[in-house]
Amino acid sequence: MNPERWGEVQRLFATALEAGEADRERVLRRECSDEGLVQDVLKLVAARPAREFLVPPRLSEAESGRRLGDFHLLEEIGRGGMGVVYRARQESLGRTVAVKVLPANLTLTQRQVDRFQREARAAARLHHPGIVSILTVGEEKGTHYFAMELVEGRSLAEELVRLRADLGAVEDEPATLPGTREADYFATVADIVRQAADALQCAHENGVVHRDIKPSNLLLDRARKVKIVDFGLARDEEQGVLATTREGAGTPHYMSPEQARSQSRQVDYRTDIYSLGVVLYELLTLARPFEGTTSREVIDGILGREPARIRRLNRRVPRDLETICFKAMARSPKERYRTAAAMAQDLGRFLAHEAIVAHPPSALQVLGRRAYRHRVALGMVGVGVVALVLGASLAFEHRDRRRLSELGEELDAALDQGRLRDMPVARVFQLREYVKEYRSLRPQGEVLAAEPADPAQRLEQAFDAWRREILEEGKADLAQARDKGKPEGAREFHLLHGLQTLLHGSYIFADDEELRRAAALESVFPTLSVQALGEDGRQIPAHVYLRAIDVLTSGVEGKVPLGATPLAATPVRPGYYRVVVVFESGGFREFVCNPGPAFLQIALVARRLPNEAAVTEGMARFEAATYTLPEDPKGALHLRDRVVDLGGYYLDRTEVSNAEYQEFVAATGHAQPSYWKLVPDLEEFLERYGDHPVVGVGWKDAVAYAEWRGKRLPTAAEWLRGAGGLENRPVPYAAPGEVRGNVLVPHGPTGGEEGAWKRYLDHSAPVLSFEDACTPEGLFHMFGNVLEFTESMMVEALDMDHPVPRAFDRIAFGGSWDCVALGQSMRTPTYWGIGSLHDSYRLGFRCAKSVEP
Amino acid sequence: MGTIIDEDPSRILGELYAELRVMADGLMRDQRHDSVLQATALANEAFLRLSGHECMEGWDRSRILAVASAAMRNLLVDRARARNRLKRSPKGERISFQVLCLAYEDRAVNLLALHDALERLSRFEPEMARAVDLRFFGGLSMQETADCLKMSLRTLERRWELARRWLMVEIG
Repeated sequence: MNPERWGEVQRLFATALEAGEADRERVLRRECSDEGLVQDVLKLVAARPAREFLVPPRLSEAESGRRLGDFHLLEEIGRGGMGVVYRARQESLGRTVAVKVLPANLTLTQRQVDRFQREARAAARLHHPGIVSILTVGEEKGTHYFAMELVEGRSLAEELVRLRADLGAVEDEPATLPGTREADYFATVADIVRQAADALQCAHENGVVHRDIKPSNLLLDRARKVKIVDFGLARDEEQGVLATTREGAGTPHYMSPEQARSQSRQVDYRTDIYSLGVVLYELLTLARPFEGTTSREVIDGILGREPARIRRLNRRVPRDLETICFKAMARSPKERYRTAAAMAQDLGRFLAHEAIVAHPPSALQVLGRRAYRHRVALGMVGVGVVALVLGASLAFEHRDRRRLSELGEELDAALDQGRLRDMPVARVFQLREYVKEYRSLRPQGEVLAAEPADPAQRLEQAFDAWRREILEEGKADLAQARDKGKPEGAREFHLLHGLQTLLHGSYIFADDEELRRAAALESVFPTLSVQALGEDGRQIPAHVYLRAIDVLTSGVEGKVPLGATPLAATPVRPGYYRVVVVFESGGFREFVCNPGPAFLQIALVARRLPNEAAVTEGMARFEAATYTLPEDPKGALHLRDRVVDLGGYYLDRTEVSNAEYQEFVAATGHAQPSYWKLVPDLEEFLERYGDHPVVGVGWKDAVAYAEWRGKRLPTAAEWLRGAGGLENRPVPYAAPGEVRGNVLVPHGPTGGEEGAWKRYLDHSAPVLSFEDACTPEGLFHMFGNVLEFTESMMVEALDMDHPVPRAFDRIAFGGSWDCVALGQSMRTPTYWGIGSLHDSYRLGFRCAKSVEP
Repeated sequence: MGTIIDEDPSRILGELYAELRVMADGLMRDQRHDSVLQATALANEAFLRLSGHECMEGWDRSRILAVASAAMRNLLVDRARARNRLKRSPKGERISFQVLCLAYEDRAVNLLALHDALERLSRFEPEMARAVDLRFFGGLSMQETADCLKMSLRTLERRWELARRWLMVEIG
């Protein structure tokens, strides 16, 4: 080890701690090619020295073993602002307490002594679980002391040191605060500060002001209960603010502005609220709001500067906590919380939101989540399989002998690699396709004398054997699950395990009737059937793929092949998906579906249009990109700062118009938009308002229209990127000067359905209008005119860490003609149910389509 | 004698060290019982005794503390070696000193191994080796240690943690 190498170790150590446990090794190897160094760093990360390692022992010989009144001093447990704290035994009661001894050599004036005693007695009156109780105050031969309850635990100051050094949880230590990246960190912090505020309220009600609230005066016991120590006793105002420079004494960082100004007359109970706010700040950001190399600098900061915004230092901090903190830290005492109880209440409200939003998942959701992870792995292979399938059709046409022998070799080698069930699923799919291709080039029975044994046949046999194994094992598990003699937990395990085995099998062998029946999956899991029809309504060949949608980011996962059409009722795990049907003769169709307890049988029909290529004519094209969703105070909370990998896609330049929708209605007999019943003459209406955006359609209607056109609805991320670009412009047009677009109509009452319809007729604009409000790619009315549906599910989120998807609601963006009056931005999400009744006179939509299926 | 981390080979250092050892020895045998047996006390005493000495120019409290803590370490290490050799505590030692030594050995996991590891650490991370002396053997607080080393508390905490882990791994 030399200084350069050590420098590397330091750098890599910090990087390793920042990466989560799962990514650590990967990140390290990426940063550093020296394996020895990587191992060294990993060893250091894993090192867990005991708490006392290299912490100096303290033995104050002079004091220990001494007696003060009823107390027998044992060992020193800490040094505070003015004096030393000992563990002591109260002889008369036989209990262990803590005794704080003021240094004997400190000459106190009579006035100071009186004050000390008076305040000690006042503090002794306080009885609250959050306040360390003072038991007695005494004096012996010039030594002043007081006894208090002993708290087994650490101070918040020590905890902060640990958090800053990023130690995380350590096995051999008692649990106190969770690591700053843990999910419950903010709730824990909020609870701790709330407890402290409660305790302060009790003190204030009794006329006692602490005046020195700081992390070293807030003790945490093992149950994370807070205890405040040192009420009014540690600080002597008359000594002056800058008098003491010893450890922990007189640290100015937590002083309120009025304290910093040394205006003792203006310091009242509200100074404690300020200081508690500073503690909260420090817990949220691990930094103090005002720092400096000298006390003078810190005080200048408290008096003159604004602290850095919390969420700028740590983006994960919930907004509510930031607000609470800043209210407590208002410069003028009048603007702070009026009472400590008020602050405690606000924190309580924040915590209650935490309680409301979090739900325990149901059993199906748990299975769904497991499946989701599984699916992602499967999805990775999608592209390769498609390529192989297309390749197969070409080979079929050319009957390439070379291809045949290539495949033969692959298939021969495959079985030597091990059992099928041990292979990654991607590989299994690949082999199945190889077998199919091989068979198509050389049908069974066509065995030439000179040729070796059929490699495809061996594999087919292996597949068969595996299939039978799956059936047997799955059935065996399900039988055990039905055995009433077994305990509940075991039965549930067998049920889930059996279903999982059979379901996994039915993915691999998508066309296997028997597997599906064996799982009786129709009753437990929803099914998906898909047909592909040509223009004449006859079946045409196509392939069906499933892509899971991440409801939190609206991103779409990789493809999982389900099989060829017609796809009979195939069990799918509950979830939110995009189903892609790729026609063999070119073109593809995308559907959105939500199989689950509410939608058990989903049947999709993919109709190939005469001219698939023409579908995207006139649409704006967006290339694939990694997109970070915008930060917008009026925007969707659960989407903020999420990163989505967007595939390439097209977006309609305009909202769907009444005329276009009418084409759909006329051709398919779909229901009219709800408000058209108010229209006396449809033709006249279409002549005048045909180019206005269609409204009065529910989400399902919009989806049906899009599918009919060969398109789909855009996802939330696609819509937002289309509206504001990858750079997330605040408005669609590139150069915001004045506000443009159909957004400035004042808001007003509608007065029922007719009133609403009238407002629509008066205020909606043609879909091709307000050109100066377009996006650079030529999209009209992303902001204003009418709101626009997206494909994406609504997610309820009061903060980024606890989102809850709402399966029956979808998000719409864009604002309508009165959005500015309503204080909405184009990213303000509005939520609508999926049914046809959930429509609105100012809600329409536009379509999208992926570039690649 | 053990090695002193400070590289200054001046004669005054030798004197200082001798002075400190005498004091420490004295504390072991003296009847006086009202002093804190830690390097801070030693350093204060040494400073008082040696200040005014013309060769002490340029010696501020930080520097004396650094030497005093190193002296404390060496004191403890010497004693540990002596005890290993004799297989018992040296004669005439006061109970309180024994307790202190026990406390140190307990917290250092293996005092002699720590001493060797510190030697190695000082070759590539001399500041943290000094920090261990100041904090552990010297009894300084983290803030005081940071002040002595002329670094911010936060920087010290970070580097301290890494050094601590490295030492733990080395001691085994």
